[in-house]
Amino acid sequence: MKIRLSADSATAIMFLGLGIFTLIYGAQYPMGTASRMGAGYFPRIIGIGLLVVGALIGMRSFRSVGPTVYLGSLRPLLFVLAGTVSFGLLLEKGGLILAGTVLVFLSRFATNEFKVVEVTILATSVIAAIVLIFTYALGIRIPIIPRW
Amino acid sequence: MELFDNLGFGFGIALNPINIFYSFVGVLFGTLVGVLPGLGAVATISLLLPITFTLEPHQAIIMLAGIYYGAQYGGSTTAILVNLPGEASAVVTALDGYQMARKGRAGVALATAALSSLFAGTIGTLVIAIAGPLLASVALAFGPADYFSLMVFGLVGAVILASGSIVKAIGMIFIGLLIGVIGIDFATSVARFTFGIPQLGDGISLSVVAMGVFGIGETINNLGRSAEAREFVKVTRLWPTLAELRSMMPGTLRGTALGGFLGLLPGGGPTLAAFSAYSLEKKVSRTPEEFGQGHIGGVAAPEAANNAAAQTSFIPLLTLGLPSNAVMALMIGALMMHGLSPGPRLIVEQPTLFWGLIASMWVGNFMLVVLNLPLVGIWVKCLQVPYRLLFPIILVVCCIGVYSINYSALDILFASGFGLFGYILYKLGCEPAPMLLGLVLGPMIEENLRQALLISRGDPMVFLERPISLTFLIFTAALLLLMILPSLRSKREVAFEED
Repeated sequence: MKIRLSADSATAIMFLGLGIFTLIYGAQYPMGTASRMGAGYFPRIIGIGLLVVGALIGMRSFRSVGPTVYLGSLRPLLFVLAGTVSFGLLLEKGGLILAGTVLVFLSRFATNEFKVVEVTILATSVIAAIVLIFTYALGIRIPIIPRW
Repeated sequence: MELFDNLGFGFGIALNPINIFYSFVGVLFGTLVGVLPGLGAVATISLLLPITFTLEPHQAIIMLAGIYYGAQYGGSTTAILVNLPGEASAVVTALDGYQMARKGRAGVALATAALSSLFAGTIGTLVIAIAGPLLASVALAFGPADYFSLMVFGLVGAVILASGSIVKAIGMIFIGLLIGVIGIDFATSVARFTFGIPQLGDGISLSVVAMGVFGIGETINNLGRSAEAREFVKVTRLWPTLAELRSMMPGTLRGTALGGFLGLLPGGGPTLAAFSAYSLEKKVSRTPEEFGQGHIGGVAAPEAANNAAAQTSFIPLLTLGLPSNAVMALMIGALMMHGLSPGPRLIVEQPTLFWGLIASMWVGNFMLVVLNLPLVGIWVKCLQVPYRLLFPIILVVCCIGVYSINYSALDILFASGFGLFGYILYKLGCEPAPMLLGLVLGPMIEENLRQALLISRGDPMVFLERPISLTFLIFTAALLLLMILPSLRSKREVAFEED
């Protein structure tokens, strides 16, 4: 059996979930009074707002059959995020040359075309341009070479 | 005349070679991202936001503003030549512009777009120069309760005039407010929603969210779509004849007036202005059947409107500190990064920034006409760069940009998380722009709410007793009521169907 989730019910679940989380996690912050608002006063308003929005969307999803969530290929999602996360993990220790190469190569797996020569040239020129523009022209300190 | 003194002062700043350079960089980048589909003004401004930290505040704003209105010009070039609007605001331009191009009048269509944009930009800038100081002096009388109500009005207005589901958009504002709560609360020194991560004490920066959602998230979405076939139309004669100039004039005038007004409203901006101007033009025309077949007024009016609105949407930002769309939210972020608080005192305290920015818009608009008419061939070449070469560059620049805000690699991981969130939002049909407004306004709303209730000793009636606050709340209620009326609702849905 295939479960068909309408976009509206999925959205309702997201807002309700966030609202419940905000209220429960935010319960540790003191509420205070209206004239002396505590740290938890505003988060509680937000949590209630999220719940109301979630409930409204949820009611609508029962009334009419909206479009279902179409996932499509997960390939772009996985490879792009793998690329940016690796870049974040590698940058400070491995430097821009390593992290940038990994990001360009990994993200290119998100497409169906992968020509090694083209991607190598692309990675090299992007990294060279970043080093020139960011570190030399703008003076932003980015680790470039590995330091272990 | 004080106005001319101020404008003269502004031009002194805008015509300084260094500032001309930053304005040029801005409009050049703006045109480029306007031409390239899949990269919008919001993503580009958030990419360049960290870089502008090394500049003077007025230089940073001059450059970022150039990107914003430059993107309007670039977006219409691709709309006319390839029927592929580079920006949402150019969607209607494609209707008649592409038909003109197919009938061998591509050059005239481009010239019509550029010249009516220039005219509208000039008028729009003049409106800022006159209305800005006036509005700011009124806003000086606002108290915390008034500001709270103004911001609520701004947020609700932004949601109603934006496209898509209103309830979802309100939900996105709440998510933005929630992200804004993360970090140490100034008033009570309590660390909220930091999950024990010390780096979250300062909160999540606007750039991290914007680059995650609009940079990384957008890239994932673009890769998931199949590429459109692109067919180029050759550019022929560029300069319009006198008769053509005369026939585009009424559309340009009406578009400028309507766009200039709609730009002032919260949630108003280039896209809404272009759509409204096109339907107005069709309504007043004696030959409405010619629209969609390559009518010159169908290009002139929306192009004038979107540029006029792009200029006047700076007024609520510079005078009230109220961002009317996602780009303006990023501008607030840029001002705050430089330690400036946008609001009614900005004009008096930062005259260099205010008058320099206004004059630079004039300079920038002239540069754009040169960039877009004689040099149109270069932009056509840029369009031919395949996306598979483009998107890895976007990703690397995004990651480096995020890193350079706080020199924190952890921020890149947060941005990746927001990239995933952006992808989910896209799949659920939730527009992410209101989230940025909520994120920017959240801390200010909480602060004003706190102060207003402190002054009134916890009595919520303060929001109804102060006349200014009450007026904003009545406006807000009226907007919400209007939305429930079925007739208006169906009209709004029709207007956004073409989007």
